[in-house]
Parts: sequence; C-alpha cells; structure tokens
Amino acid sequence: MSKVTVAISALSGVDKGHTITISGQLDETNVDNESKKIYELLEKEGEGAKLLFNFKDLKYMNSKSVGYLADWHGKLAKAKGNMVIVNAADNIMEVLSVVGLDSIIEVVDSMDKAKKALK
Amino acid sequence: MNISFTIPADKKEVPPVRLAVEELVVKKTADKKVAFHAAMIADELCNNAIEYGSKQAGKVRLSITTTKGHIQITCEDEGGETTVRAQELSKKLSQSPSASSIRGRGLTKIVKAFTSLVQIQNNKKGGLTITALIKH
Repeated sequence: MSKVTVAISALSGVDKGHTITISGQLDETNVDNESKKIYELLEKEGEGAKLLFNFKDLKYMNSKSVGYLADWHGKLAKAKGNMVIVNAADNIMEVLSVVGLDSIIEVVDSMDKAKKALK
Repeated sequence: MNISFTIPADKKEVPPVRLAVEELVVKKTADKKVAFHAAMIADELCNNAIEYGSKQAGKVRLSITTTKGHIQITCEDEGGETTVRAQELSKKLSQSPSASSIRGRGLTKIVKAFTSLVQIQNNKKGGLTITALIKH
C-alpha cells in the first residue's frame, strides 16, 4: 500500500474552516479509505463548510482521487460551502488541468490567498 | 529499452510498477515530465485492467518500449466477468464523465491527454490489450 497521510485541523479565522493536508502518494491502494475522513468531516460540518486542501507534500494523485475532489466540490457547492487547493506541485496541477478541475475549484499558490478565498 | 512486468491482478501490486516505470523512463529520457506521464498511464491502465479485466486470480502484463521519440506502454489483461469489449471501451474514450462523478477520468481524460495514440484490442483468449503511445 502506498504511503499517504491525511491530516485535518481547524483553520483559524475561517468559520467552519478546516485545513486538510495530504502528503505522499494518493492512489488506488489508499484513496477509498482516506476519503472517508473527508466525507465524515463534510457530514459533521453540514452547511457552509470550508475546506482548504494543502497539497504541499502530495507527490501523486490518481484519477479516482481527482474524482473524489470533484465529488467533494459538488457536495460543498450544494451545502453553500467552499473549497480551495493550495501548494499543488506542477505534476498535480497538470492532472487537475487535464480533467478540467482547475476551472471549477480555485487553486492558489499561498496559504494567505487560500484563506482569503474561503472567507 | 523494452521491459515488461507481470503482476497478480491485485491493486496493491501496482504502485511499485508505477514507481519503476517513472525511474526507468527518467533514466532513458532525462525528462521528468514524460516520466511522470508514463508512470501515471501505467498506473491507470493497470488499475483499469484489475478492476474490469483480470479478476479471479488473473494476471496483468505491462510492457514499456522506448524508441527514438516515442514511448509505448502496453497493458494486457486476461478478461473476467466484467470485461467490456474493445469497441465499447473505445466508444467511452470519446465521452466525458459528469462533473461530479468519481470514476471515468483515467482513460477518457488523463491517458488521452498524455498520449498521441490509444489503441484498444480484444485478446483472442479474452480480455483486452490497451496500447498508449507517448511522444517525447
């Protein structure tokens, strides 16, 4: 199984805001299991949840992982919430772009910009 | 370079192959971006083959051939109850998944975007062979 860490912490200054830091390789061996943490968070926060995905140490993301991002975005949009991606490496950015996700999810290059996008 | 991997149809077997493909291609081409594309294509093709092809203790065979200007990645499965035929899968290649769906972006978006050609063929003994060609 590929090594991945999904750490969730409260995002100070953003109501119902959470930072989700994903490190390592997100692929078919671990994404179904790790995604449960995000679904639990969405369920717990309900309306208006705001998620900041920090991909600083994310080295790989497969197509199903991208699919989960699209699903979370859809659920957040329905629940008047929001999400933003920050610090994605060039190869991750390319994957997001190829599937068109960068046009529906805001992607920024600094934590300050990410926090502003969620406020 | 012509290298092949034969692995049991188990998704846990795929990451070491993906990493090996990336390492081999970067050594051969000195191009990290092309190596990442090759690794991702290998990952997506192997996982598709395991999910829709070689179930029930079957095997998946992945081959990488590099020639001047091209990398050819071929993934062959043995077929299974859920195997789709090449014609059906080829049709799906031209369709887009819905915006919020979790599945359906591997072949239709990522593999297509990173390659100049994708060919899908039925194997005589069952299963499919998918060939993807990267220009570099």
